[in-house]
Amino acid sequence: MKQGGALSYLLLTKLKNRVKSFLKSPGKLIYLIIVVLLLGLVFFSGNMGGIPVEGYRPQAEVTAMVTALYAVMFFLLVYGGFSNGGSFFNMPDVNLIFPAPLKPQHALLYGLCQQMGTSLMVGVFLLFQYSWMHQVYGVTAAQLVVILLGYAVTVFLGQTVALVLYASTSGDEQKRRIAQGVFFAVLFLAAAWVVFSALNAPEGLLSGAVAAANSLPLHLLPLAGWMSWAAYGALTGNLLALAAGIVLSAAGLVLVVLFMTRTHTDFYEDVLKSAETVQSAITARKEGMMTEAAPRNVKVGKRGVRKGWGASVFFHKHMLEDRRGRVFLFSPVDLVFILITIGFGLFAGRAIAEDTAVGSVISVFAVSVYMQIFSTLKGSMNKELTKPYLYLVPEPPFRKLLYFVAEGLPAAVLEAVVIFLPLCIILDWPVVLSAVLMVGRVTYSVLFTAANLAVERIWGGSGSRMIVMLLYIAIVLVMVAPGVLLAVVLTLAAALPLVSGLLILAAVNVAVSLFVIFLCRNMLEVAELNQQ
Amino acid sequence: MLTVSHVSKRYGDMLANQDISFTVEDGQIAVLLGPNGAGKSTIIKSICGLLRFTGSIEIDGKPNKSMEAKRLLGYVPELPAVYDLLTVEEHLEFIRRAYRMEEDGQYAHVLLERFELLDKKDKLGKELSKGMQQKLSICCALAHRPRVLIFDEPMVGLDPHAIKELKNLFRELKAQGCTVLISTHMIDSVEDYWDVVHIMKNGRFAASRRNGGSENHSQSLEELFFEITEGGTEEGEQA
Repeated sequence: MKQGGALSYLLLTKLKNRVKSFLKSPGKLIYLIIVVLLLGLVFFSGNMGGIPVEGYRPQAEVTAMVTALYAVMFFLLVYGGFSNGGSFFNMPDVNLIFPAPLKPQHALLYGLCQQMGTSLMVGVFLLFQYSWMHQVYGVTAAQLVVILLGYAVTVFLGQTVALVLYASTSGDEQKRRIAQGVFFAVLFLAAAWVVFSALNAPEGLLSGAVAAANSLPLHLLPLAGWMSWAAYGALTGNLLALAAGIVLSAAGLVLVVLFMTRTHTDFYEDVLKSAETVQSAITARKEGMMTEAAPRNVKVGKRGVRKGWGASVFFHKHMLEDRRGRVFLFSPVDLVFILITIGFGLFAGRAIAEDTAVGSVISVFAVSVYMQIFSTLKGSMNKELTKPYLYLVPEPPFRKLLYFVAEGLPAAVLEAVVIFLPLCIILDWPVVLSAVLMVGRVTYSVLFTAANLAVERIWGGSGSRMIVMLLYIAIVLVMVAPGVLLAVVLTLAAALPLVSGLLILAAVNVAVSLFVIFLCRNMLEVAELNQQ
Repeated sequence: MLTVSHVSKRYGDMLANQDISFTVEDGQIAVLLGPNGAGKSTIIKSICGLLRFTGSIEIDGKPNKSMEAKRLLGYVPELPAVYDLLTVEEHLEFIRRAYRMEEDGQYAHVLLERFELLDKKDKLGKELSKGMQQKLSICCALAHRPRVLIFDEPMVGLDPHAIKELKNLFRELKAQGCTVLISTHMIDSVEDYWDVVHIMKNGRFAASRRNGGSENHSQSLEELFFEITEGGTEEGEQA
């Protein structure tokens, strides 16, 4: 069998078996049906409203958001390349392909093909933005698919560059410093260009930033800008931009791959560590355990837990771990969700006046909470539940759970501030309204955490991830209903202002969350902490 | 004292523990021996309150899931329970605070020194080798001075010095009047210090033996173990 034949056989067989196993899994099929139905709902509701009376907002804002999205994802992925080589290969690849008499270049191509599919899946959340993007900007389904494809290619490019960076710098501290210097210099220049343009734009800050994001200098940013240039061309019908972006991106990819294969034929060791890390996580998940996502290089900083007594020490321990575990305060996915929310708020919620504010504010708030459902689904809190200490420590279980839930509060508060403070300043929202929106969002964070706890209590946390996700969504829907219903009914019945309605919503969310946590308190007494 | 009465644990159709009953007195070291899958870890985790079970388990007369019982219990799991992002010293500080130990941390210092972790007290959990993580796990279980200690496969991954220290520790705990229960499948690791041994097979006790007991057994522990686990026979007696 030819070398290429062996690897293409492997790729195709894995794809075929994945589809087969998907079709044989009821949980996954149900999940797929629900996702398709939800997508259908999004597209249907998006098409329901006609063209807005005041017309669609400028297309330039869409292309600016696309550029920002692509650039942020690309830079975050490339930055990750300084610490690990990404996940192109897994342990079976390392154990079977690497020792085999196969050319490393063919193995690399196999890894890149394997990764492309994952990159495409990562961008599916973009399709769920159709409703507001169509209603505000007139973005068509086809255009959204183009944005998705561009996003997938950007993610793919980012991961490829990350792999090359890692392979080139992992053994050489000086090379790493130089590469990091170049990286931050490019990032600084891009950001400086946007800020300078925004500050000097006669039309205002926002319009200036939009114009800068659509300008040639940003589109000429190597790799990060080229794909957004192609998307810009596709969305605006500018064939020259489209062709230029595609040609440059393709050329860039070929160059990167050539660089990798010509100068680093022995990259196997470079990917071994990250493959081993991924394998540990997979093994741990299979055994019902969670591994911690600790970065390779940790700044220890101040030593000592220093605070906490009894149950509260879990909270302070978690704060300490958070401080050490985070390079950025938010994960790349969190950051994308935050940017989408801010983008939606800035562009779709522009029309703020006292009597027209309500719909815009509610829609921005709803989008921010909608994004939160996806970001809190990741279940990173579960790692504490797999260690024995939470169960063994002799403290009342309700108190332990409260502190456990409280661990997510600082991040939730920060996220709420990061989202709503810029909106408050740029859109000149009333301070009280902005504060109440932040509070409301934080209460949803608590509610979603309580929902995760309920899933653990009911299902146990291990086993089919699809079923866990479905259960989580079902529980979330049940838990958010009281707050929404009560807020809407009381606000309409008593003609209350928006702020009062949001405060009612927040209060009910807290009450529902505390109730669910109280109901779940026994999970610490009847834990099924096993590795079977 | 640890009292286990008619404890059973089922996973679906599989009965992992079937009507287990035994007592470990103060100042006694009891050992659970058995091959992989015999149900040792299951009964251990049930004792520590980490699994649901039928039957009853009491620690010094208190239900094992009560606060009072948890204060008395120390547990060393089979897989080291360390936090990647806490230093060695911070693990013990965390335990001291969680168990509301008013003392200043001197005892923690002693433990770290004993298990040769003092020079690594500023190392993060993720930077420790598996053996060091296991030693840290042991220190965490001892830090709040429990009266009943449960060790699940404690010697896996330890170097010879650490094994020797652990055996010394078992003897010291016994001398202090603590109750010690050790689960292992390594027979030669327990030869020197056991008081009672229960050999488990298929979720039940297949045989029990007291060290220096009056029963006239001609077989060694190893011979009995292999006879039961390979030969399919059981003594049918309980300690």
